[in-house]
Amino acid sequence: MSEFNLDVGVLDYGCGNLESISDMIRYLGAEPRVVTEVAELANLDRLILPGVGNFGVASRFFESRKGYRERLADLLSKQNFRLLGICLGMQLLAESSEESPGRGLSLLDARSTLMRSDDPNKAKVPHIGWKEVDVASPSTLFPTDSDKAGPFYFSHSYILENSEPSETTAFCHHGGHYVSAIQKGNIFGVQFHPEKSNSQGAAVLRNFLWGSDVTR
Amino acid sequence: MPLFSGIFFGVPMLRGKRVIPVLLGGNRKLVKGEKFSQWQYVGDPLNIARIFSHKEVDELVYIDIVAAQNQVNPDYVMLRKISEQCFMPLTYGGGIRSLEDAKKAFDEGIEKILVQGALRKNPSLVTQIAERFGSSSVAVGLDFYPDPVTGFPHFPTVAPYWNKTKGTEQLFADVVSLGAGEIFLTDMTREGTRSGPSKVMDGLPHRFQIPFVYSGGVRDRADAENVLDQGFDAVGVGASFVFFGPQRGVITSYFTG
Repeated sequence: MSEFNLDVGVLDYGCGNLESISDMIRYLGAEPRVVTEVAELANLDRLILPGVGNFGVASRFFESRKGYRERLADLLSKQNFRLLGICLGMQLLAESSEESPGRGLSLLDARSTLMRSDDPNKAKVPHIGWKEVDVASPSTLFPTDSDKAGPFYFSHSYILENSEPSETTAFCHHGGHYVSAIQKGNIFGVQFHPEKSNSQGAAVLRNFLWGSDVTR
Repeated sequence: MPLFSGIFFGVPMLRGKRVIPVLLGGNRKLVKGEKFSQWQYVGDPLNIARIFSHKEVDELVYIDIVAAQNQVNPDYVMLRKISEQCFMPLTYGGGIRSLEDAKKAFDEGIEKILVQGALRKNPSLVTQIAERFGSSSVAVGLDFYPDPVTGFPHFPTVAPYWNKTKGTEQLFADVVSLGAGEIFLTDMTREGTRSGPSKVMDGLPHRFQIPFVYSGGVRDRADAENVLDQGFDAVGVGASFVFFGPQRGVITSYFTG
């Protein structure tokens, strides 16, 4: 890999919207390839899990293919590799989800739960719309001294409950204080859709692809 | 679209809520009408989508009225071309009649599907799409007109799923139970007229958990703020954003600042 020729994979696991993320990656100057089977993951520098769909469907995709978790572990052991989960893709990094039965990738000690709003006047569920996020401290996706970033576009009913608070790099408030982004070594997740968040989203995706490591 | 190397602070929406251009089209043309009739050609959907993407709007709704009314399939090739222009969310409605139709639309880069006509005979389609793709991926469109005598809303496009005995709140409650992630209301008597928004739904969105969008007659920021005051989570704007200017050229605009 050279810095200018990143091998970027977008995983097709039946959980849609490959086109939107691929469009933005191309706009930013990389050429993404859609990958599905374990063998196609070899030599990737970046892997993105897009996220429109259902946790159960995603989980079954991984269960039905031998060796997926091992291959991901291999990739993650490479210092220059990075993984990004978007929306459902971020929740898939967890152990499980309230949405449906099935195992997640268990890369985070976390689970996905349904957002519960006790006051519909304050926070609608699903959360659909643009929100600024609170940046916990400078990180690879948000290398800023500001305590805010965005606004970004959110569209979800489920949130990530993560056991390790230091892995949360950004929060958002919507009827409760929720994880908006995580970073654990070279594993990244964002609850919002950078590919649908105009320039702000493009900046985050650019930082994922080429930004310097700001380790936590 | 401008690219920033750091974190960019976007232009704020209206009080944090979405302002959404609503485009109507079919046969690869965009049209402007009045009360869903008297269509005039206003332009090429790709050009106008590109202009809105450059303006970095909050979301774009594209409704294919030909597909909706004429029982034909959505134009998936066109959807891909439009979605390629858009780095904001794109919602599509018109002729989505099966889970397969929905999947094809998502595959072309659509972020959210708007379902309306299918409610007449197959309301469970909403549930199927919500279960497979998530509630936030499926909105239900409900076009209405206020009864000329009583003022109560009629929803003819989804009859018999709605009938006069059901009432508005029950209709909304039923749609929420189906699994819809959002309700998109359009006042048919104000669509394309730029005569100001309806007040018939004032306060109703507060009674439901899911977000509501209103469209029909919105002229300017003051109208949009009025819509938000009624409890809506987002405002759809059609004719006021794409209209004929003084020299009969088409002008595309958006709220700024």
